[in-house]
Amino acid sequence: MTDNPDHHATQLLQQIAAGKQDALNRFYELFEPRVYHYAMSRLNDPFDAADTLNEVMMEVWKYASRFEGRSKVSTWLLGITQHKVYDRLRKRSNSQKHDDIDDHSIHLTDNALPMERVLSAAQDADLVRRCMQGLSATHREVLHLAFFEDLPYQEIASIAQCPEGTVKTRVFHAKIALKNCLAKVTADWELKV
Amino acid sequence: MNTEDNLDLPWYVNNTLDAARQQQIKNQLSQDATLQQEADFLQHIRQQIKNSGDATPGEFGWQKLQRQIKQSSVSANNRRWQVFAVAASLLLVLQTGVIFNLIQPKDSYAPLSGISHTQPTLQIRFNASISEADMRQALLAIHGQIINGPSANGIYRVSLENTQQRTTAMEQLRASGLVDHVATE
Repeated sequence: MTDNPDHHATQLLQQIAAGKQDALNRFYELFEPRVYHYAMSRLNDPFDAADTLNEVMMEVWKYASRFEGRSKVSTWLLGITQHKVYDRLRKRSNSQKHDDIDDHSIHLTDNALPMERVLSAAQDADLVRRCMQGLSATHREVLHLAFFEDLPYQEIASIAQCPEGTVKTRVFHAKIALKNCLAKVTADWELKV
Repeated sequence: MNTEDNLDLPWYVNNTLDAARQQQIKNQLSQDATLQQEADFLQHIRQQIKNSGDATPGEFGWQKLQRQIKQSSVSANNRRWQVFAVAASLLLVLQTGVIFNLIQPKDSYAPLSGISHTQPTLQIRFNASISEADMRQALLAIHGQIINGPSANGIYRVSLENTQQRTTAMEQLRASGLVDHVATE
């Protein structure tokens, strides 16, 4: 085994392509959390996310030989996940449609937000989780890729299949939506107290 | 606060900008308190997202995947057997056809439309008033066999064993009064 994790993952894919299930087991252990959490970030449903994980790993088992090494293994894998998630979202009811509205149609502002309160709320795990769940799937996705995966915006654009500028504006809007939510939740809480 | 800096801030926070841009924003942060607050906010959010990882399917997920792989390989094997079975059936049909053709005497060959057209034939149109029984009787009497018809104008083509028989048949039919047209082809 080598120190380079991507090289190791590529070797595993070669073994999977040769039909070795133990290699798939190691690959699964290596990438299961990342695929699951990425699916979860968009689907916001543990059952759907688990099914998506299963579909993605089946795809790896069947088509590992199609990996050409033009990207990192994780980028290739999260790209497959993105397709599976998109298929699943398409099958969902129309209520999902508002999730993927064009970012340019969102008019958000954070000029008047009390920043101290927002910064304090951002350290509260429950509040952040609650507000994250209220974001659109697209916004949760980019925040997940930027902060859970720590990916550069170029790689996020490749996975999400959108221009790099769109990735930046999506994260920007997601951040404002989060700040608005945290400010509102804390204001409501203070009113109750 | 510079918009470009603000847009690039998430990647400053996750440390994936190139070194020059990383340093540029770092310098900017030391001069811009609002930008620094934004960076602090993103740091907190990043930390919360990293800590928020829900439990994954883990071993259950792996077992489910294994079951699915097993099922898919079983159904793939079944598909292979199905292909083999279909191929074997086709081979059997082909073989039966070849053997059947080999044991058939040559004179048993006949076009699907009936008797070969090389045999002498007659064109016959029966009287409109006669019955089917009369027609049948007339054809049996001349040892003829319908190979075509009736056409739109009621003509039948009838084959006969040889030209001698055809000549006799024409005479018989004309004499019977059952036909209003009879001719050779």
